[in-house]
Amino acid sequence: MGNLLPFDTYSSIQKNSQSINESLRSGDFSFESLNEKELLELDYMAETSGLCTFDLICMQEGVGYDKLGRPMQYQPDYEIEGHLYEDETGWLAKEVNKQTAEIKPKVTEALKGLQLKPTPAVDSLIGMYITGLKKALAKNPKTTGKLFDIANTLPEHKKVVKILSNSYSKIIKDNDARLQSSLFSEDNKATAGNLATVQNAIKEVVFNLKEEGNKHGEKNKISQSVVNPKPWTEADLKAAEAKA
Amino acid sequence: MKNLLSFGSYEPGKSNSHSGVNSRINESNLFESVKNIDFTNLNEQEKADLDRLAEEHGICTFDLICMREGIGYDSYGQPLNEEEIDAEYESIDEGFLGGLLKVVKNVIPKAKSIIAKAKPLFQKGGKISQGLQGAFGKVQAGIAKLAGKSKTLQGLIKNADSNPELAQSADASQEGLGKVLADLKANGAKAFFSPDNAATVQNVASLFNSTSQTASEVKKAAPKLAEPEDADDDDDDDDDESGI
Repeated sequence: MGNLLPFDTYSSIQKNSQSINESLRSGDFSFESLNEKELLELDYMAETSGLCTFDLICMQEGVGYDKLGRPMQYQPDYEIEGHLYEDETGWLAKEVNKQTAEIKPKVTEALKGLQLKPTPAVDSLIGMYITGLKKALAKNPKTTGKLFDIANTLPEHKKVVKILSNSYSKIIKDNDARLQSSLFSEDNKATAGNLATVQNAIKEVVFNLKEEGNKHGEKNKISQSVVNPKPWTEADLKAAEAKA
Repeated sequence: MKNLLSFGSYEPGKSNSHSGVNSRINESNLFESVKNIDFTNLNEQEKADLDRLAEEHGICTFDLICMREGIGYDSYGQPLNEEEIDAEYESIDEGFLGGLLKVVKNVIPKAKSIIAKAKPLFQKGGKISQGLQGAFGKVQAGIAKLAGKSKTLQGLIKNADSNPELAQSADASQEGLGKVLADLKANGAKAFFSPDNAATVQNVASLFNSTSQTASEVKKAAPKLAEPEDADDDDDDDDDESGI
């Protein structure tokens, strides 16, 4: 297996982003086949470089990072093409556009809440999901169900699934190899936090679209018990902080 | 048994009222059902049943796993209260590294407030589920027990992998992630429609957040804690590779 870390010192990762990018993109590298030493090295990198496995997987897939592994100034397809889809498909496209705008501030706040540094990866991955929805819109679906059915077949959504699957696999593998110690991993914390943020963001988009669909005569089942049960009040939050 | 799984909306004794014949999940007594289920090996019908139950009752797979393992729930599937969860570690002698216990006790409320701050995106408005609360308790209990048993931080780290309380939390997170991964692999992007998956990964991310924070606090505190000159833990003579 190609060595993920052709670095003299781990702390040089940021200076050597091109090298790590080359390692990640070499045909024989797989996050699913890391050995215990490599898992430990990944954790060490997370602690010292500010990157986590989630970012590395995104780098490998060219999500948020260019072909040389440099962070992209991301300009997603949906921002370029969004108006076109909106004109063609009415309320459904408008709602997708609205979700695009609304989800990003929530994602930023969630990452901040989890004390995670926003990286190009999360932004790009959510952008990629939205792009998939936009492309599905171009097929002129009449319902949210049809929209999702089309979107699920598109490469953008398949790539999102692949990246998240690889991230899950890394944590599970780490847990297998290192038992309880994996709980204390900075890398797992950051990777799981990013996973949870992306997955909850997508869930939020899906539910909001379904809700809008119901306003237009669809009969999507939406559970408020999970989506919107009693949130913490400010008093709850202050009490938790005071206790801390 | 009066607990959150004796669902009032379903007729007692009428099992699988919404399920296909292939499901092992008995809705009238879900607690009994989950006792024998490997959540990473569910069939499609069972996944659908679990997702629907999560939507309808505000619980998620992570909580069901915790319930099965007695994390945050008693042996009848009834939620433990906060005092009962705390009692487990408070009854343990603090031992030589007693100062650590104080550190650990302060970390969990802090972690809770961190999670609450992610509430714009996270389900349940950042509220801590019963299972997650129990998992926090297990981590506290595990570290308290290790602090009582170990003579040095190095020893505590080495002993972490044999600690049953930490193992319970690690296993619950492992199985929860495994369930979501299996769903992702089977259903692709459709798996994101599931609030159960979003809630499960959120809980696991929250657990990792608190445990890695605990490790960080322990690391910071350890040098300030007095260690005897002749400290010699049973199995702490190797290099630390546990990741704490």
